[in-house]
Amino acid sequence: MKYLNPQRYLFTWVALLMLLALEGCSVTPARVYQAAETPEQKAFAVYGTFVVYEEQAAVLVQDERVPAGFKSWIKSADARAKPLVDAMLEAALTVEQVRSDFAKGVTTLDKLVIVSMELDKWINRAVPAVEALVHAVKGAK
Amino acid sequence: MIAIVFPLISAILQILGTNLLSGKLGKDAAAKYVGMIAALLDRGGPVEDGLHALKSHIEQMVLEGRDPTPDEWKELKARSDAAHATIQGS
Repeated sequence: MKYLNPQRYLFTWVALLMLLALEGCSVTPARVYQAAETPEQKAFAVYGTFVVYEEQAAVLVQDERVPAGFKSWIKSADARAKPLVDAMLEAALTVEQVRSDFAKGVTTLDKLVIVSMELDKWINRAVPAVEALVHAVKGAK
Repeated sequence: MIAIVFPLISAILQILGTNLLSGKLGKDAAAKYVGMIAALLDRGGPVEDGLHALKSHIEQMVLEGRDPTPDEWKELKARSDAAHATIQGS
């Protein structure tokens, strides 16, 4: 129990207390994704996270203090992710349309299942590409 | 909201930490030590604010039991297209 003595390890305890309290308040991309319940909400969470980091990336590539290597890393991560997230967005809009058609009785459940699976596929492709941009932005910062 | 909560938590922790340590280190050294930790843990900034806003937006959607509207998608895509053009054009 001597290791738990606050007097003995006061510096460590203060640092740990601050770390835990602030860590508990922080929001990560994973926590944003977890807030979503439906596939369309999840796609929005992934696309929104991409936009948040992409906007920061746009600032970083114009910053003279950021080394050229990091800028190049950001550019290639953005170039890889952008077509994937845009395809995911199109898939989400298609699901929305087919869901609406299904509610009106002008399409079948099979069609809705197919486009929903297509959206899942694009979400699974987009997430690693967005994570790559997140790493590039964090690296440059 | 987070722009208020974060500095508040940070300020409270810095006051508590400084008081805890000041008996051992003296007030100035304790304040310096706690300030150093706070700077290391500083998580404020546009990315964090953006993620907080996005998470709140999605939580609101869940509460309202709805999916994103075409306009919400349109706004997000416009922001992405602008940032993408800046990045690839730089």
